[in-house]
Amino acid sequence: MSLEREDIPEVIQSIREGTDLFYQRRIHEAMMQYDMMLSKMLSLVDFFFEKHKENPDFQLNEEKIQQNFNEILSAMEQKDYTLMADIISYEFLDYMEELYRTA
Amino acid sequence: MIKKVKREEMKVLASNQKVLTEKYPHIWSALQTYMKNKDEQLETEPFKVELVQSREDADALSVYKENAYIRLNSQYYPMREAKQWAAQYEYHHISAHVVMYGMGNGIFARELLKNLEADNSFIIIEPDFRLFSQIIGLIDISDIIQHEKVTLFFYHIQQEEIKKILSSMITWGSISTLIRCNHPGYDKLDLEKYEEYNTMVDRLYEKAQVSQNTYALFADSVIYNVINSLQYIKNSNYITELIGQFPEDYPAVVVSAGPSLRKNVEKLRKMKDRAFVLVVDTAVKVMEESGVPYDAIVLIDPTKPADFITAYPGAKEKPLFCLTESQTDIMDFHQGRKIWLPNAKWLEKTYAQYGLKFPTHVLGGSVATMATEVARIVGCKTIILVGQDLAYLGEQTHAGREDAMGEERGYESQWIDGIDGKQVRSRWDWIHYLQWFEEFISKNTELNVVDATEGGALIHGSKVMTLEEAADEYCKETFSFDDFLNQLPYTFERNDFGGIKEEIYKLKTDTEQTEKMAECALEYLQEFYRLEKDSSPEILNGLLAKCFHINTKFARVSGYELIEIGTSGAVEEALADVNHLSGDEAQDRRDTVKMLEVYYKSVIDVSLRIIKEMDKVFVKMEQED
Repeated sequence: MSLEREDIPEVIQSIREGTDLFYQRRIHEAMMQYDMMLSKMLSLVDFFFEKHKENPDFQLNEEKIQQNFNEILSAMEQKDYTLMADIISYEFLDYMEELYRTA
Repeated sequence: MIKKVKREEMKVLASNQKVLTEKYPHIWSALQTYMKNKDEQLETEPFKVELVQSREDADALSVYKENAYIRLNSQYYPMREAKQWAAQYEYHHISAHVVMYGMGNGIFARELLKNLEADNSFIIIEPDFRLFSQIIGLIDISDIIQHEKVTLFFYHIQQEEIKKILSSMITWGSISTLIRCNHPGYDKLDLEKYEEYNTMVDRLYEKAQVSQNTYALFADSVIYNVINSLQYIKNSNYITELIGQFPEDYPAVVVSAGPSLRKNVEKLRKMKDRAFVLVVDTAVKVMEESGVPYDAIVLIDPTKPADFITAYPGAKEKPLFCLTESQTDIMDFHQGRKIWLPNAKWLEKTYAQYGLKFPTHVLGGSVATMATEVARIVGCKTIILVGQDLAYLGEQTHAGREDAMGEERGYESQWIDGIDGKQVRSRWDWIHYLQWFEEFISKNTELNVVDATEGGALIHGSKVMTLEEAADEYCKETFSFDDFLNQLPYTFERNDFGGIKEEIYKLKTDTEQTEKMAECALEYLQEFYRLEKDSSPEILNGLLAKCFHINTKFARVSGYELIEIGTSGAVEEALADVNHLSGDEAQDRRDTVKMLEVYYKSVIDVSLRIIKEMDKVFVKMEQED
C-alpha cells in the first residue's frame, strides 16, 4: 500500500479508531483489524523513509520507530492492550503526525 | 514514570473514610480489620498500588504484583481513554442500570456516571479490599462512593448479596437496558475471582433468557390453566395448613425421575408411612408401574404431557401439590385432594387479602426443587433425595426413557463430579438445579439433605447414602399422611368462601373493565396520530399522559397478572424496538405511541380470551353449587 501525502491524515485517523477497540477491551474485534492497522502503520513508515531517501535533510528517528514497534509487540505478547494502544496512539501516531507536519 | 506520592494522603483518606463510614459502616468496619492485618499479607504476596503521572491532570493506576506491573489505566491519557472506553456504552435507555466490576481509581466509573439519567442506578463491585484499601489512601473517590446512584459492593464478603441483587436486576424484561462492564485490567489482578464473578453473571443472563423463552412459550397455557383451576379452589387446601403437622423427626423422600430410580424403586416400597414420600410428576410412571405406594404427587408444569399422570388410574386419587398454573388436563383428571403450592400468582395475592398467607419459598425452576421446598416448608428436617441423578446414565435422561433429548434440544454436555468420585456427564439445566440444591443445603443448615439416588452427580453438602442406610438411620417414626389428610377439612370448610368467590367473579368484571380501558387508550392513540402533524408537543404529551394514567389503573385491577403474562411476548418485542431514547423528542414520542399501541391491542386480545374462558368455568362452578 503506497501512500500520497494527502492520504496520511485519514490513515492516521483510521489507525486511531482501531486503537479505540483496544481501549474498549473489544479485543476480538481489535485483533481482527490489527493486521490492517499494522499494514497502514508500515505504509506510513515507508512513506517517511522514502521522503528521507529523497531528502536527507528530512529528519527521521529510525531508532524511535523501531523501539515503538518492539514495544507494541512486547505489549501484545503480554496481552497489555492498553499499553499497546497507548504506544500506537501516543508514541507512534503522534510521531507520524509530527513527521507529516514537516514532510 | 512512577510518581513519587507526596500528596496529602491523610486528607484523602479522611475524605474517603467519612463517606464510607456514613454510607457503608459495615464495609468500613471490615476494611479496618483488613487494614490492621494488611502488612503481614503484603509480605507474603506483594500487591502495591502506584500512581503514574500522565500527560493529563489525572494520575494513572499501576499495580505491582508478582514482579510485574498491571496497568489499570492508560499511562498517557487516562481520562481520554475512559471517554473512549465509555463511548461503547453510550446509552439513552428509558431505565438503564449499570453493573461495573472494579472501581479502580474511579476514572472509568466517573465517565459512566456522566451519562446516567435520573432513574438509573449504578452498582460497582470491587473484588476485594487489596486494591481498594490502598486506593482510598491515594485518591479521593468520595464523590463516587457517596453518589446517590452508586451502590458499592465487595465480592469477597458480599457474594450472596450481590447475587441476590443481580438476580432481581437481570430479568428478561431488563436485559436490553442493563449495562454490564468490567474495569480494564481487573482480569489480571485476580483472574480466578474475575472469572467466577463473570460466570455468575453469565448464568443470571442465561436464566433470564430461559425465563423469557418459557414465558413466551407457556403464556397461553398458563392463562388457560389458571382460569380452569378456579373451579377447584372451593374444595382444596393450601400448603400453609400442613406446616408443623408431621411428627418432629418425620423425614421426607423426594422421588424424582432420574435414570437411577428404576434401580431402587423397590426399596421405596418400605418407605410409606415411615417417611413423607413425595413423587414428582415424571416419576409417577415408575411408581405406578411398580405398584410402589407413595403419599403425594407434585405438579407445577403448565404444559406437562397429561399422560405422564392420566395414564395411571392409581394417581387419580393421590393428593396433588399443584399450582393454579398446573396443566389443565391433569388437574381435571385428578379427583383427590389438591393442595396449592406457593408462587401461584393470582391465588397467593387473593388468599392474602383474607388472611391466608402462603409461606416464603425459593424457586429452583424444576418440579424436584419445588418438591424439596415442599418438604422443607411442611417441616421435615431430613430430606432424602431419590432419582435425583442430574446426570446421564449412558444415554438415559430419565428413568425408563432412553433418549438423547438433551442433545436434540441443544443442551451442551458437561462433565462434573459424580457421587462415586468419577466424572459424570450432565447438562447445563441440570447443573443449574444442582447449584440450587447446593445453595439450598448451605442456606438451610438445620436440614439434613441425604442423596440416596445411588448414582449421578454429586450434590455438594448432601450426605451420600444408600436408600436402605437412609431408611435405617432416619425413618424411625410412623405417620399416615392419608389419615392426616382425611381428617383435614378443606380450607373453605374452616374459612368463609364468600369473599374468595366474589374475588373469582370479580376477575371477570375487572378483566372486562381492563379491556374497555385499553379500548379507550387506543382511541387516545388514534387521536394522537390525527393531531400529530399540527399540534403542539404539550397537546400530544397530554394524550400520552392520559394513556399512562390508564396504565397505572391496569396495575390496580385484580387479575392483571394474568393479562400481563399474556401480553409479555408482544410487549417485549415492541420494547426491544423502542426501549431507548433517540434524543429527538418527536421521535421518542412516536416510538412510545408505537409501543403503547402494540401493548393495548395485546391487552384487548388477551382480555377477551380470558373472559371467554371464564364464562366456561363459571358454568361448571354454578353446576357444582
